[in-house]
Amino acid sequence: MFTPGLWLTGTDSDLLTMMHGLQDRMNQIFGSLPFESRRYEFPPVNISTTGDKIVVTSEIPGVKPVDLNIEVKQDVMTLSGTREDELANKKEVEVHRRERPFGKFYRAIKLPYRVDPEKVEATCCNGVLSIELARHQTGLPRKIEVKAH
Amino acid sequence: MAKEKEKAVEKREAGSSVQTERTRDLPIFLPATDIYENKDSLTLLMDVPGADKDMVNINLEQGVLNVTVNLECPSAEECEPRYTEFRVGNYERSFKIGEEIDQEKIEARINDGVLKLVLPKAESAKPKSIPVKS
Repeated sequence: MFTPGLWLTGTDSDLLTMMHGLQDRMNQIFGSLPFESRRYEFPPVNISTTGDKIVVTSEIPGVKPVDLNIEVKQDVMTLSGTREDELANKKEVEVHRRERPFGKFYRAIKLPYRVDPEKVEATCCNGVLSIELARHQTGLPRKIEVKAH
Repeated sequence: MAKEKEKAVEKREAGSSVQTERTRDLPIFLPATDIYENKDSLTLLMDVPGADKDMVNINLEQGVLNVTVNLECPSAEECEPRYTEFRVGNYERSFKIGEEIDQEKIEARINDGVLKLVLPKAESAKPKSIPVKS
């Protein structure tokens, strides 16, 4: 399977196809595990599709919209920002429990298809981020008619 | 490695310590919580994404603080899930509070899915410095 020869002879696009295949396979393997045994980077994301739209939701409690950065390039969306450490400036406190993640975060998410960067809408409500992304024109399926001679 | 572990998030489901059966078919999670204390109060910060102030129920009885968050049922939109890392559910968690708390002055605030609870200590529980007489 993974022989160096295969890596060397492959062109760039072959390599990409292979990488994508690998990612899909990884998703399949990890996706089949029960929820309890999976751990994710902060923030966790869900991706769903409806018609020609992708809806990405993410739980980002305590992250202010100004501290959030969303970028879209072709079929990859990056989500980065900072989650404030509310205990950093507290003086004379005794910390008993610390479970909430804090600090900088960065995630690159591969979307099911290429999206139009002009048609992205993000809203945040009660710590849940929702991003709607529309499919790029070039990615729309086109019906091809067969001409008769 | 330790840092990596800290960054990873996981929604923990409430264990079987909940003896009563649930009437709704939604999972119940333990919200991630920070707890700190200063000389006047005990503060709890809980991550409850998706909750607003009307969904939160806080109860302090016999030294046990109980927080429940009942989210409204997620609307059944015609969305096809492609990739799922988190589930939507309710939150429930209880803490034994050792300190004596002034129940009347408990303050709860919810902002961007973070619930902040400030439990002021009762006067009798606050540390007092005792002047030494000569």
